[in-house]
Order: sequence, then C-alpha cells, then structure tokens
Amino acid sequence: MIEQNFEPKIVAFCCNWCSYAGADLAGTGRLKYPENVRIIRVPCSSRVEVQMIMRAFQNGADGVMVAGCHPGDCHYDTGNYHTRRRMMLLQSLTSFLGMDPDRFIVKWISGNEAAKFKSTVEEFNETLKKLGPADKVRDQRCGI
Amino acid sequence: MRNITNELREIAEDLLESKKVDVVLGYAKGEQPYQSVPFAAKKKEDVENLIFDIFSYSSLSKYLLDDMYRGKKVALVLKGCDYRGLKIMLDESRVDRDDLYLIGVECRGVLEKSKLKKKIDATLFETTLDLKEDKLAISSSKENVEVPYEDVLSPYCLACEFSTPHKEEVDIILGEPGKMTNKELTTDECFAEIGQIEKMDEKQRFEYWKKQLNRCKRCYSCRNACPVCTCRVCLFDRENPSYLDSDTSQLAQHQFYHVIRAFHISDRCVGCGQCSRVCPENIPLHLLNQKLIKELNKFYGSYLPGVDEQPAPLSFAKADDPDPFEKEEK
Ligand code: SF4
Ligand code: SF4
Ligand code: SF4
Repeated sequence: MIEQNFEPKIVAFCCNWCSYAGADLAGTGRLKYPENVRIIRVPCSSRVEVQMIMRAFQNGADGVMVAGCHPGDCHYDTGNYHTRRRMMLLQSLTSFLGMDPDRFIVKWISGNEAAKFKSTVEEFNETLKKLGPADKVRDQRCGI
Repeated sequence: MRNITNELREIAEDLLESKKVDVVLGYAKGEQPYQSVPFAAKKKEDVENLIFDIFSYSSLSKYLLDDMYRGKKVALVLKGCDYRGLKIMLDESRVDRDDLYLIGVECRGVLEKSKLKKKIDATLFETTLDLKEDKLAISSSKENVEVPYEDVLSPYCLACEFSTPHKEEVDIILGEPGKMTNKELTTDECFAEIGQIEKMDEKQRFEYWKKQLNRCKRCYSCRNACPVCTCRVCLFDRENPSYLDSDTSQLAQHQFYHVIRAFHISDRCVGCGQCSRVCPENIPLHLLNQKLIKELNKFYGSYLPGVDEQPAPLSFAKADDPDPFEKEEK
C-alpha cells in the first residue's frame, strides 16, 4: 500500500566542487525544488562509502543520490572515475539482492547546472513517490 | 593424498629439527570423520599428527596476523587458493616473506560438507568415507553409496584455475598434479544458481535473499575465516560510529552487513569458498562473491586476485570506463 501524500526522504551526497555548488546556485537563484532532500556535502563523490549509503537507507532515506562532477571535470582529476566503478558494482549487488535499484542514483552535476540539480531532484522525487517508502531496507526500529 | 601427508611429516620434522622454523602450521584429523582442523606442530612429537586431505579447507595464513606468531619463523601448508590469499597479504606487507617457509601442495579440491549431506540418509557423524580413484565411497550402518567427486566437491574447486601455488614462489611443492574429476565445468555451471537468481523478478529475488539473510546470526565466522579480509580494525567492530548492534531480528542490519562484506571482498576474493563453508546457517554467501566477480570481469576484464600482477579493478579507474549512470554527457 502506498500512502497518499507520501513525501519521500532523499539523502543527496554532493561533491563540494561541483554538485554542491550546483545545489547552492539553485538555492541562490531561488529555483524551487522539493524540500525533502537532505544534502550532505562531501569533499569528492569518491568519498562516499558503501556504508554511508546503506546507513542512510537503514535510518530513513527512501532514496539516495550520489552527485559528482562530470567525468573529466573532477577537482582531483580521477575521483569520480572511482565513484563510477564502485557505484556500478554496488548497484549490481543491491539489485541482485532484490533491493530496488531505482532508489539509488548517481548523477554528474556541475557547479553551474542549477537547473539540472533541480530537475534531477524533481524526477527522483517523482520516482520515489511511485515506489513508496523504502521499507525493504529500513531498520524497522527507527520509527520513521 | 596419503603421500602428501607422508611427505609433509618428513619435511616438517626436518624443518623443526634443524630449527629452520619455530612452528609448522598444517592440519590434523578432527574429531569427526569429515573434519580436519588447523594444527600447529612445534616439536618433533607433534609431527605425526599432521595430515593433508580433502577436508583441509581452512586457509592458515590468517593465523600469521595473530600476535602469537609475530617474529616467529613459520612454515605454512598452502593450497592454490591459500597461496593467493597469502600473496595479497605479502603484497600489502602484512607479513614478511623472510619469516616464512612455504609448503605448497598439489590440491585436487576439497569436499563440500553440505553437498555430501544431501547424498546420504545417515548423519555424517556415523559415516566412513573412503577416497577412491574417481569416486567417494560413503558407508554407514544404513547404506553404502558411491558418488562421483564432482557431486560433492566445493563449487569453487570445480571452477578453480589455480590449484597449486607457483613453484618459484614457494619453498617446496608436495604431491603430484592431477584432478579429482575429469569433468570440465565452467564457472557458470558451477554457480548456476546465480543465473537463476538473475532471472527472477525483483520481488522474488528479494524474498529469496530475505529467507537466506534472515538466518544470519552475525557470528562473523564468514569474515573471520576469509583469508583476504584482513583489516586490523574491522568497521563492524568499531564502536564509534557503531554500525551494527546485536539485534539480529532486523533484515536491514543483515543487508547492511552482507552488502558491505561482499563489497569489501569483491576484487580480492580468491575463491576459496571458506565463507560459505563456515556459515552455521548455510547461507550461500558464495553467490554474492561470485556475482561480484562476474560483474567485475564483465566490465573491467578478467582478473585473478593473488595471481595476476596488474592492479585490482577497484584500486584504479579510467576515463573511458562504461558509464551506466548517464549516457548523455554535459
Ligand atoms: S579452490 Fe582450488 S586450490 Fe582451493 S581448495 Fe579448491 S581446488 Fe584446491
Ligand atoms: S557465518 Fe553465516 S551466520 Fe555467521 S555472520 Fe556469516 S552469514 Fe551470518
Ligand atoms: S570471500 Fe569467501 S571465497 Fe572469497 S576469499 Fe573470502 S572466504 Fe574465500
């Protein structure tokens, strides 16, 4: 059963150099995007470890997004290439375990792509609304 | 395999008598007929307990990390997969090659207890096993059966590509080359369940794994037995932040543990199969590891950890790697 007016909780890990700046620009530009996204600023998308993503789901996230610079534009040259390899493997693993792969997305958003940040979050929010709460991966004791 | 045992005792005696090593780490007969246990021979009298057989599963190299063996000269019995695990430890400077005397063995595979159990009515405890040329004879008061080895060997052994350590890298190799079974099986055939799980829809997959993972007691045997899981402080033992608690009624916590365990091993798994064998709940962990190996090979080319010299696939990344997340760029 999908509850009506379900507002998904989104955790977005944003790279300090690109995606976080993109989100910031969306904010200063007064672009409206869903408020239910919690942004966590990381020094590079490759900082995001598997345990951080899994923990977010356990503790109440309905969707997790990892956002980094476009391939080729990484502040540290190759950080996001590592992100790509790892996240690809993580996605195959979670999907093999039958967890919804659509609840976990990886996006490349640069510092001036405020509009892309907005539309990504909006789309993700819509997907999650259809999927409903992420009970399959939630620690049921969290009470959220 | 009997000759390996004799050769092993001779060499062990020699090593201990000449004080070349302080201890020989090998196997001894366990309490049950289908069990061999790790054994440390420290003096001449211990040597006659040493054996090597198809129940000599456990990788012994992890004992080297124990403080007890620090600074000691240790001789170690190694199958192919054990050597691969040790090679990773050597490459990471966790142990010093100069402190080791390596006794490689020609391995023909190890038995899978869970497969064996399915072949007989009696409990394993009541059976005697007799190794024949191409079959295993199992007898008990209730029955006498003979089963081909391919039916009872570990799936990892049937797919094993590296059953004996490199002769240049060990000090001696015991036994003769050969196989338990002449049947050539591909990895896909050995791990056919992976294909079946992939074909299920998401819901069925979830239910399948829920049933498996919910049995987990989080005893951490799978982690402890794994020869490549060698961090000094494991994230699951960390207290700050503490990632898992002792509640084993939460599926989410099992998922957390298993996703991270499999992921951390992904490009290091040497395919010894020990994780699944030690699991008291028979959770098919090997399917997770093999699935990841399969994915890594598919996307980044084949790589055998502990054998190939090139860097592991998750230790580097390239600009032209496939990008499944965003096809359109900029
Ligand atoms: S995986 Fe290979 S080396 Fe290891 S026990 Fe099996 S056959 Fe022997
Ligand atoms: S050995 Fe089995 S029961 Fe123990 S932690 Fe591993 S999967 Fe869980
Ligand atoms: S994950 Fe399992 S099969 Fe792979 S190296 Fe560790 S114990 Fe062996």
